[in-house]
Amino acid sequence: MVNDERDERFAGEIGGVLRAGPASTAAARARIMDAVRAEPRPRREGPVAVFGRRIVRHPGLALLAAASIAAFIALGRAVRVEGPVQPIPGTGVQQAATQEPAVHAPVVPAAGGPPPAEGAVPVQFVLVEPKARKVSVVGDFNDWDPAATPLDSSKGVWTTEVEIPKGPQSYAFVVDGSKWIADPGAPRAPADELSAGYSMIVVGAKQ
Amino acid sequence: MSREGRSGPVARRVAIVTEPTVRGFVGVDTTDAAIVRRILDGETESFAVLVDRHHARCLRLATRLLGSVQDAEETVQDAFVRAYRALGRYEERDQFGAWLTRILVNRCRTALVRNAREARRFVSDEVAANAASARDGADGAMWRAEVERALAALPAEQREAFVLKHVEELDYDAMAEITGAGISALKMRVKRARARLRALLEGESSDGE
Repeated sequence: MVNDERDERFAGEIGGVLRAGPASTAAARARIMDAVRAEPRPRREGPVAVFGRRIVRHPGLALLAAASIAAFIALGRAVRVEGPVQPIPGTGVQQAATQEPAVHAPVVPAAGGPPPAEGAVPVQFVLVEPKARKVSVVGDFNDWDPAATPLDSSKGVWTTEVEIPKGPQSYAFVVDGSKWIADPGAPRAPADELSAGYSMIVVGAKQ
Repeated sequence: MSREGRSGPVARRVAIVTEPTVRGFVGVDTTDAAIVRRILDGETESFAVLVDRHHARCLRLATRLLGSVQDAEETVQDAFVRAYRALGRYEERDQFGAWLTRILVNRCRTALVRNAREARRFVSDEVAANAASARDGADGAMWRAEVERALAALPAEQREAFVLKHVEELDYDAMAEITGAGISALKMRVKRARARLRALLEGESSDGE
């Protein structure tokens, strides 16, 4: 306890020393603005428009998700699915939604949608999280930006499709903007200081 | 010079470095949220106001997380550009500064993972030996350099938690929002970082590890 108090006092002192950061120069800020001017003008992105566009693009997404989730539950373990997923008659989201936490595995979606960029493969992410208000997926493919790749919800089943470069990719889900969770249906990333709790997939590999 | 003696000038420099530079909008709402609205309405040059306001803080944070001013400048520029691209997704209920910090911390994480330089740069024994010398000497710059080296010797997640808590002076709720880590985990990381830093810089044994 005494050590804790000393550590805390010392930390406050160290924090004061470190608060003197490098100077923000006009030149550095000008470089940022030059880079910004090369970007397209940002536009408001309403959630309804995003949701609607994705539903049109993937009309069978929720059904595919429910089917794949039910299949995983039936098997009693998480598995990865390569290739199109076939719906399983008589299964639905309600059964999956009672499972805690989510059961999911990234899958390659059925035909449809634009072709992926060269060297990239479309991967479908599914997370069952009925109580979540929003879910996104973060990984090397979107620079771990929680705002970059939101998932769409249908009765608590959150799905999205992302084109991901081939090769090993670590990723995680972000629930309600702050809770980072590993994918319960995928292997964990090799542990290092910052990736503990992340998941790992190998895109484009036979599994 | 004692460490207490050095803390005064440091604090004054901080006040100068972090003071926001607000461009003149007389009679106009100059909150970050209002400026974002203006940018989305087409006044894209107003983004310079946000850059002016947040650049110093972002540069300091990135420098402390990455251990290199050059890497930090590149990463901060990247974070601002990404924030600009994603501005349409910014939700006003979030503080722009917190939102930008989330982007920056994630960019720093990516930079650390991608850089082989993430490997600890300094040997702990070397840090401890130099720190003892600097602490007893009269050179404040040397002491600060040793503090920076000790910080760089921490595991990345402890360094991140320590910087957010004791340099950026955020509370644990804000830290959890930015890092995605739980509050208990953050408290443990901060506790371990404090103990490790003290052990490195004062040569004190600690039960924090």
